[in-house]
Amino acid sequence: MNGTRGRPVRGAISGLFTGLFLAVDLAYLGALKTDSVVLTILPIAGLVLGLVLGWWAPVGRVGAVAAPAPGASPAAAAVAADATADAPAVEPPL
Amino acid sequence: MRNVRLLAALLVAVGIPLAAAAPAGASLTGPCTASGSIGSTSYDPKVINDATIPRKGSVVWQGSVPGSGKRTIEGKVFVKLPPPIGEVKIGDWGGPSDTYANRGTYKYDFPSLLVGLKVPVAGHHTDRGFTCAGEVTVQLSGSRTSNPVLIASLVLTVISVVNVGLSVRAKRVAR
Repeated sequence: MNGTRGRPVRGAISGLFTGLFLAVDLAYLGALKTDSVVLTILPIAGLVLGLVLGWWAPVGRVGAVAAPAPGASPAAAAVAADATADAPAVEPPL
Repeated sequence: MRNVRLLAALLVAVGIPLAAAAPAGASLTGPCTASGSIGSTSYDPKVINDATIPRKGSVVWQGSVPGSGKRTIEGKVFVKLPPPIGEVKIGDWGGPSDTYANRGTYKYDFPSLLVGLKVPVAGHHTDRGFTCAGEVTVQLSGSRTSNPVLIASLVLTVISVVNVGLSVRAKRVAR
């Protein structure tokens, strides 16, 4: 049985560098003065955002399926709960 | 004498003849006067908040403060950078002095890697009975897009964004 998980470390590092380089871009484009606090906030915000996005990893995540409709059979609920796993579909109970 | 010359040279050379302290109006606080000219362009701290200056050149500067006699003075000029770095001092002066005015010429040559940055430079001068203070934002003229730092940073930004995009993809693990 297989599952999925996020990449928080990779996300955090990527976010940090994104924020850092974005800050450099804005400074060199003259959009921000060199004493702007935004230049400090951007790398930190990038790190946090990257960490959260990496942790969450919404793309290709297993288990993010819709709940079965009310009144659905137990078999349908079981299938829905395991639908995104790589395991074969659950046999309906007898 | 040397203190006043140093003060004036530092202020004018970086394009900051003790410019406006008040954010909204370009006014030099206190009774000091200072000005500089680079080529045919004059920079008067009474009327400017921002100064775009050539990357290299020669500035003809002058500065003065009211008064007479020997007295103790104190002051400094600093570049403002983002927190937590804050202020970076580029010059200071202090001690007894009997000089109240000075003028001269200062040659400067900044590296091209600084083109595009808007650098606030501030300073103050404390004299007997008064203090002058000001700030001006200095930018070197030239093409920003030919600055290798900006080009490299833009490329690295794109790479980083792509990497963030790859980070939001969940990876499969065996349970």
